[in-house]
Amino acid sequence: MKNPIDKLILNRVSWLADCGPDDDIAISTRIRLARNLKDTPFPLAASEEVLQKSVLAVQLASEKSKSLKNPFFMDMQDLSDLERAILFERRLISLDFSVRPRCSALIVSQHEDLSVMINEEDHIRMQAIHSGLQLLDVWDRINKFEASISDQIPFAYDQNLGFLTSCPTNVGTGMRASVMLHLPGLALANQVKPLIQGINKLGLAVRGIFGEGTDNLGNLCQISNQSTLGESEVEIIKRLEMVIAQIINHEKNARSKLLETSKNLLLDNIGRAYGLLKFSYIISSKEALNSLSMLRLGVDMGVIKTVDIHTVNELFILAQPAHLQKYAGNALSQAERDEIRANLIREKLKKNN
Amino acid sequence: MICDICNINEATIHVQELKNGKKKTLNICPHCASEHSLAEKEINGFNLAEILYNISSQMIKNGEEGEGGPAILNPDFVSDDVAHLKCSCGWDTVKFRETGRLGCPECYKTFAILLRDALKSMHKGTFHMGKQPGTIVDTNGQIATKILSLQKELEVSVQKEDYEKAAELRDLINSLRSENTTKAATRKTKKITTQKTKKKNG
Repeated sequence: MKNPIDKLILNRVSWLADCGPDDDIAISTRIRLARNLKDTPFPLAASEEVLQKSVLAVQLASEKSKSLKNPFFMDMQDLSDLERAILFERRLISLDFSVRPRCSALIVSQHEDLSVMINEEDHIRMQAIHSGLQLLDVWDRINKFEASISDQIPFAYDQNLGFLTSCPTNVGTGMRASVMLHLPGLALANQVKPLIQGINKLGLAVRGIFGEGTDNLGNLCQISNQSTLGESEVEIIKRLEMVIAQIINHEKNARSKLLETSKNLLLDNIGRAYGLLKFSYIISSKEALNSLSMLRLGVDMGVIKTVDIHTVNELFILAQPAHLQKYAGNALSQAERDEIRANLIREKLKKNN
Repeated sequence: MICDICNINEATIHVQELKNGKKKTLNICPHCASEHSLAEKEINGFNLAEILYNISSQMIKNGEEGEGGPAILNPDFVSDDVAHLKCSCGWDTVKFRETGRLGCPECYKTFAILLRDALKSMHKGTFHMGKQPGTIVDTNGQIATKILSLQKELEVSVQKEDYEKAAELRDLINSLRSENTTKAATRKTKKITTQKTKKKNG
């Protein structure tokens, strides 16, 4: 059988590539649920034998699930470092899961909209992901999948505390719902920091595109719930949705205000970014992401009409280190990556015209 | 104040420590505290998992005045009997404080004393209001809330050995549940009946 990674890489990353003109600010929606097997030590405290048993149990249950047809199954130890990094860049697995393969496995649906990490911090971390702002649809998808495997696997559950997780910060619903937002207008207007502080006061967390420490690279950030106990899933989702709607409004206002009061500053930023991407021969990951963000703003606002939005979206992923190396077919040094990245971006933008 | 680790989130955990006359401070957000407690044992000389659990207890101890003001890390806080808790899975207080993680589902009972206050400060509430195993939809969470309050009543009446009332409540809960699904209900009914027989035999 062909390596599943080789098949996956042919997929367009649908949560990003498919997002259309209406999704210009909210790029994608993701919901993950943490579950553990009943009466079984959590992965951190479990023996290899227990870990292997959990992999088997989850695999069998998902094979029977009607919500998941012909998925890819990957044993994490069989994959190379590069392949695991690719999965991370596609947001199918967490960073921790990609660097510490210990009796762990991954199940991914054909279109990558649903995936299950087995033996991450919890036995089961399942996620559904979709382009645009679609919290209730994504919840429906993961909710049904969870119910379909709970028939086969008894979960660790307590009447008062709900689903029991290795880290008490996830106990209860075990749910983390997050929306990725593209906020270049607010960034140009220097309003991102105060906004983030405001969001934090509402009990929601803000993170960069690839999680912790990635700042708001490419003016992308993820907003998610922090509390998992004391509210139902839908209550949490509604609360998040309300805040997201407000942020989208802020971003829209910032964009129209920029167009009104500092049109040249806006056009200059977009034009320079486009030029940089189109004519560079060496470009770092950070420079590429930030320029792609401005180019996307230009396309969203109709300033740049010759570039297809899907190409821009695709480049956000393809410009990442692991994807570049897969594209080049061999491991690359940082300097080599910056050259290949520039080549790839120039080519894609040329094709697009 | 911004978190010292991610430089994005608002820092809500503030720690100050006096060592040899030198003051060390750390301001972090709860998110970084929990993320980093597993990956790195110490940040700037502070044990994050320890902070996450100790500080919250400390806050409650001071009559919940801790919010906003700096809480002082107090290593002597955990009393002797709490320091030597051990779960059947092998996890103990030391491991829990090192990692911020629990070892198995049973640990939630074993470390309940340590967890109670921490959970209060981490979450919106202390009771699960979400879905139950085997259920599919509870569109607005109302049913779950109702079931929950009934469950509390049920527990009380079982303790009082008022089985007539308990049976009534059980039927009510079951009928509410069956609005969602039938599976969860049958499972719980079995549990209640076994509890009942146990009590009678005892």
